[in-house]
Amino acid sequence: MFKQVLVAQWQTSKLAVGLLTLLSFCIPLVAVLYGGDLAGAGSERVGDWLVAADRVAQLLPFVAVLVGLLLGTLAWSADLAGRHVYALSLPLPRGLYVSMRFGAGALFATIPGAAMGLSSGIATLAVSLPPGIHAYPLELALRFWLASLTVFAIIFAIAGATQRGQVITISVIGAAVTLDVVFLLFGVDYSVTAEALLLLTNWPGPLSLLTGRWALFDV
Amino acid sequence: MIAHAIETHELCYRPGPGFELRDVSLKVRQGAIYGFLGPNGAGKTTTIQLLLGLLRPQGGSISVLGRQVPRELPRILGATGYIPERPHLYPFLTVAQSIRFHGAFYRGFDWAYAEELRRGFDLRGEAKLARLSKGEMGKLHVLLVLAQRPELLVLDEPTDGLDPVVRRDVLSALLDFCSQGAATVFISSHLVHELERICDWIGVLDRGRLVAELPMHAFKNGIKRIRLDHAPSLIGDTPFLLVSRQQSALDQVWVVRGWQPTMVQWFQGAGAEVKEIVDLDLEEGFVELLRGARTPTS
Amino acid sequence: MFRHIDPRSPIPLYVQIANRLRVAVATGEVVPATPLPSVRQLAAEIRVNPATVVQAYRELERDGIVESRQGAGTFVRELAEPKRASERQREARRLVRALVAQASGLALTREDLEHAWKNETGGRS
Repeated sequence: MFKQVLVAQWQTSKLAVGLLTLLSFCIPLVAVLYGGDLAGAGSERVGDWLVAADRVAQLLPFVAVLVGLLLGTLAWSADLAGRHVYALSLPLPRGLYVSMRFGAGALFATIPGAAMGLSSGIATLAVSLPPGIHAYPLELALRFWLASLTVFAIIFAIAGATQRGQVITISVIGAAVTLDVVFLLFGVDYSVTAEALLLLTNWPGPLSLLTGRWALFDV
Repeated sequence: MIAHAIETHELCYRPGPGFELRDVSLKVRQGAIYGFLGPNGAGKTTTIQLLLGLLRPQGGSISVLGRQVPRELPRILGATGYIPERPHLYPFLTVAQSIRFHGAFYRGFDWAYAEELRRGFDLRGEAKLARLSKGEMGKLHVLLVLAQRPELLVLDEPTDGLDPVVRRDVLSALLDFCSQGAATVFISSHLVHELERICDWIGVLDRGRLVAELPMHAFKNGIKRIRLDHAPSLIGDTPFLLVSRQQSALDQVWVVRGWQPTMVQWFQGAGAEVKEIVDLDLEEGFVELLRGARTPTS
Repeated sequence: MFRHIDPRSPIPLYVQIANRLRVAVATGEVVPATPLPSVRQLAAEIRVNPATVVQAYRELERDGIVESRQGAGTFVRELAEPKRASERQREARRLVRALVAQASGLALTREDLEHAWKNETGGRS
């Protein structure tokens, strides 16, 4: 059964997986494009190069979000088209079906991560670093992989929720935004959305993996 | 051996104002081909969705193949072939892929039979579902449910919108399957004359209520249009069920249910002359039944 | 052969099927020892409930028109001439009954019918 879910989900997701894998593969390589032999270079040149590499590496969290967003929605696109009727009429508990969809999507989300890890490794090998600068390809790849999985899980949950669940989610967000607008109008120095975002993006919030500095090379 | 493949008891469903399913008590016998009739908006699709656990009722009980809905739903669904009103299969799969997908979920899926049906229906394995014509999609649905070799078939307007040639192919395949075993078929359709050929039971739903449920021959034999002269204006107890009365230019026309030939005597006793007794086919009988159910006869 | 099966008619489908076969046997259209199509085949071919076909075959067997042989199927029996004649007459009477009923509904007289009969069949037998 899982094999068939995998095959079916691949039909909808394969294009996205292909593009995202390509993108994830390229970024670490682009980051080291202007590198080369830095072993004996002066600190100014090393500094410039680090800044450039960083700037490119900062694209990674956005790509991670893209991976999660696309694969999370594509996991459900076939079912959403038919309003879940087909899946609900199949003879297996709903939970099992949802797990299979999740498993397939998570598997697909690993592919860009693996590509990113591979290219990070290549990038690290391609440059010769000056003393004091280290490369963290494995850590970065792991972070990328976990971040994309986290976003995938969140988007998967929302996309696959019942209509009531989705309405509730949108209503909660809408209410928070409305509240903020009201606060703004009355000069109240409080923002619901800002507080929520802070909670989510600081450890142990789920989105904390995405925030902060993403660097392939660091001291 | 369970007596009824589908049994509901005072089923109630009210999603909001303006639509309500009230006290629907269906009894579909094992092995029957049960036609579910009703005008648009009567609640036929809703009833079917309730039977298969796609919707939750507010009241009443549902048992399918001897098991409770929704408690034992996966087991019920494993033995049920369902064709919904609107297409629901995954559009990005090919015909061959959709057969492989579907078959993976059902124990006892007959792959050889699926292939035989695919050839018989002339469906190309590599064709994407999104590209199939309405007729081909209809045939694919039938292929998938029949290859499951289910104990129960629940079909919601399976031939609606299909051209006559495809309809014949689909019906033939369906009846061929029925002759092979003791499957029960629950089929909802607008195509009254199609139901008339193949159903041995009918249930009529109107405005959320089950108006009639009886064997086909009893329905057809029992409902008559009677042309009368000097019809009695006041009636007490009648041996038949008076469905409707109408005054035409020449005479009065009564539509009755539960007619027996001996009941002519009742009319004679009331001073009326029976000029003609007309048999109604299923469509006419259905129309008259609805008319009678909606307007109270005074 | 079963193109004129009319589900709208008040006559039950199984009776219509059985009658059609009955007449075919009586007139020699179907010869003795011919195997009847299986229930499965016939039900799918004329698109009726298999139970209807079963009932029709059972009725024919009861009336001695066909016989079912274990494992081999259902076969047309050899009928003696008197029986065949009575079957033919039965079908003819049924046709005439329907004609008379229709005609009286339109208030046509017996003379009208006889006149029409002579015109339609005059010269041809």
